[in-house]
Amino acid sequence: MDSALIDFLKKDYPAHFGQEWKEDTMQVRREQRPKGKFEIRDGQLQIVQYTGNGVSVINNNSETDVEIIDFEHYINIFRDTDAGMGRKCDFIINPIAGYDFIIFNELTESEKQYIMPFTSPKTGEEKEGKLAYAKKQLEISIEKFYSVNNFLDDYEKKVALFSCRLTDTRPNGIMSKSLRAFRKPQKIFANIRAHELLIHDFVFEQRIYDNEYKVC
Amino acid sequence: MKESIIIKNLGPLKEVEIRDIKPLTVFIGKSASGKSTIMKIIVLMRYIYKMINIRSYLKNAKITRSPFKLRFNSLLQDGLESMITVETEIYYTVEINGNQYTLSYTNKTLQSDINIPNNDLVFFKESYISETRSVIPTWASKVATLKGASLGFFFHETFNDFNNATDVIKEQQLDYLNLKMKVQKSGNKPKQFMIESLQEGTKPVELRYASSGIQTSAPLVTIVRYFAKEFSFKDAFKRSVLDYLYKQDRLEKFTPQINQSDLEKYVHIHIEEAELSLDPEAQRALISNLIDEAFHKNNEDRKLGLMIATHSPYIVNHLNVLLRAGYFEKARENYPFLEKDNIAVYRVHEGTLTSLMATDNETEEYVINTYDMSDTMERIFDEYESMEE
Repeated sequence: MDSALIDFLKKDYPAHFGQEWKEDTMQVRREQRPKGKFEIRDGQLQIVQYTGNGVSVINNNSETDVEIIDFEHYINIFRDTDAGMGRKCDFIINPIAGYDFIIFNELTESEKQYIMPFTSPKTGEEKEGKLAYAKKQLEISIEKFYSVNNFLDDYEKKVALFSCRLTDTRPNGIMSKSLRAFRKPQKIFANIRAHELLIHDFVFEQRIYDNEYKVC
Repeated sequence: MKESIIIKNLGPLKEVEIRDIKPLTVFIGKSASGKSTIMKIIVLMRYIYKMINIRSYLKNAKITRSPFKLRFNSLLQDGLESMITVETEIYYTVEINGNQYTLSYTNKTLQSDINIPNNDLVFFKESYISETRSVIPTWASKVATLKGASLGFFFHETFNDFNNATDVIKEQQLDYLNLKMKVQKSGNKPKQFMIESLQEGTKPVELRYASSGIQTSAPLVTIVRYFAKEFSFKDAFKRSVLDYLYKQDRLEKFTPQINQSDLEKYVHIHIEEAELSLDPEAQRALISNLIDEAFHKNNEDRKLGLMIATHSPYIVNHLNVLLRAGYFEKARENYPFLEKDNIAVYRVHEGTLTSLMATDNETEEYVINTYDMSDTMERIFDEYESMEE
């Protein structure tokens, strides 16, 4: 039996935008995990990764299995329609039964895809900070649900989780050493919750890898 | 006392709300994001509120004709007027003793018809320390020859505060640079500001010839110390109220129900770019110095508020040190610590504010989320690494 969230994604959300869910050709990409710690990463064949290879570390310390839904993949099903418009966060995590918690999770890794100097960012070019970008992804994703109905208000705990993994640096090299020195203060905000709530009273949590988020 | 402000549709600001302006409030954000604009509007509204308090004080003391006419538009200086449209809204509220007093600006009109009862009166002093303060040393040396010249309203406000401060303060320590400044005045010549090392045997240098970091920071620390300790509310009251009544021959009618010494006193200092021209360690030491002066060494008759706009990751990260120091007894002895409920840090972005205050989930200590301030360094590293690909 599908969870309430899967029900929403297959029925309420598409219907709101005049779309039909076709069970034979459409799929909500998801994986399920029992109690315990696991790591997830976007853009991979599997959602759940082996230890050390994830970006977001989740500790399912509840008594119920959790499902991790690839929300970006889900929204992309409706590409070129109103249902598929706008930005979306990477994953949604919730229990397979019940409404104890729902977690919208945006993952960020450092940008490795910089291109050659002649096309590199010019001085003064506007570049949104990673934190601001992630918050926006999360808020827009949350608002997609509320544009349909108040289903998310059934959940006791509503969380917008920003998970970040910093570039691995080579052990030697002056630039690597310099970056590691700059990164030291980041331990201060590696496992924090914001005082200011996001829209619809979602709590914003931040984790720098490999700090875990406990679902309960 | 609690202050709050809402600003809508003003220049780069779409919708900004601060529900509780903390004693230390810091704004970070890209250039032209609106950090200084927020501060200028807040200082403006606080100034108007101050004048309303004086007007109410006089009215409560049977002086019904107020010397002060509040013309909002005339107070919009240094480009602020061009940011105002008919859609601009500003609401500034002070909550005191359970009562709320709101100044509102809508449809290009200020609603300020408030009378405040004696129990709720406060005495505000506002200071704005402009980023153009580096010109002060040169300006001070040539002030006689520059009559009629102007470097903008906020520069002159800063200059006047520095001038008043150095009428009283003859020696100012610049510990964060291991220096001190001495003020010398003879006859009708302009004041001279001499910078000396704290160590013996080095020749003093005039402030206007000193390094840029000294020229920008010496006026700043002097003004903050002045308002934290030396500024006389009694003299300010005399200038604002008593001298006017004397000139208008209305002193006899003046029957105050409350003494100015009984009014709660607040000094608000608004600082643009505290870090100007200072190396990272000096920035840290400067911020410690300012917080020490404002919150630990201040005269007990007044409460201070500091509002700072900054680009510096060193300053904001250093605030985490001072915030953490507040949690540990030994650290409180060694640092100008910050109380956790007395600080707010905001990022100004796309016309709105986001609070960066958070709680560490393990220690339950308050922290400032400075994650964004490391973006640039990460990008530098990524670009450097990508050269090989």
